[in-house]
Amino acid sequence: MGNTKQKRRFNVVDALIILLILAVIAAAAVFVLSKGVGGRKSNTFEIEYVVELRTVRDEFADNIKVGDRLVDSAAKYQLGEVIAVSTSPATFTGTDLVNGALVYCNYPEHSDISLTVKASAETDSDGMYIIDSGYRISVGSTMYIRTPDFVGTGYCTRFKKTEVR
Amino acid sequence: MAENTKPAAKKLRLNIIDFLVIIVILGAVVGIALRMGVVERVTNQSNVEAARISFLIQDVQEASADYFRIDDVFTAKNLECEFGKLESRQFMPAEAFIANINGELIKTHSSNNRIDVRGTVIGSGTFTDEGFLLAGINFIAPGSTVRLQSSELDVLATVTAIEKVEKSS
Repeated sequence: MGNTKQKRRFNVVDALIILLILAVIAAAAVFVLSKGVGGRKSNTFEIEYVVELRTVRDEFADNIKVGDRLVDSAAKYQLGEVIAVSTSPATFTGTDLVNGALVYCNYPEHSDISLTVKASAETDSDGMYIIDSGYRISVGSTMYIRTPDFVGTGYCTRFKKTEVR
Repeated sequence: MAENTKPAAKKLRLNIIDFLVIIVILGAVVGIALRMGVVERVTNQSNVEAARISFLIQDVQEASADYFRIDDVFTAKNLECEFGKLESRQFMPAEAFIANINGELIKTHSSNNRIDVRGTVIGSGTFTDEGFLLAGINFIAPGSTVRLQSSELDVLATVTAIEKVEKSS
């Protein structure tokens, strides 16, 4: 009586498992490398951009301070550091019912806030500016922002490159 | 006579594929936990402190005033956590901004039985460098809109201020 050793055969299920493992490893590698871990990208540069927040109640119009970190409320992208804040009375455009002319006046108890923000950015394959490896920024884009003491919605109105790394 | 032989116990041997599958499963579990912020939540929820949260509710019907009772507990429905216990409330005619005949915007107040409610609740959360986390989980700050619910009320509120409640000695 002999002992026949059962031979393990490589089958389709084993092949599928190996492919799945390789796919997960590849996805993890892409994720880690796209975050720029361990190295600088050659197209990283500094930008400054301006966010305008319109018609903010005066009672918390002064809540944003220079040095505050700006964060995207929705997906928590780090949008940079506030380097300048300016507030001005919010404006309202009305119509003079007598002569039909446009009238520009202050919106009582509300202010417009202009934030200048400094951030690191890179360009994607379409040439768009990307902050924090995922947040696309451009003039006119709506920004849902938060700082430690403020939440609001504004628009990017200007930006410029300041330094190439 | 047939021999009674007990089959030898099979030894469980892990091969390289089993080992890789286990690593991938563990990696997926860790990744999901980090992605859902489980570690952050556990850390933040251990540093919970009392906070006085000020709010503004605009343009509700005057009869709603009867449902703002001191010590009522409010839940932040959209954040799925407790907002706090009502500490104070003030009622005032709802503010309104209208344009006059010259096109200028002026502030007035509703005379149509509509009110604004300002008040404070005592809630709890974590004060971090990035801001206040209600219940140690949800970020809120002045400007945040919260859907408040009590046993009899359901309204939209804007957070206007958050401050730490000093412990009385």
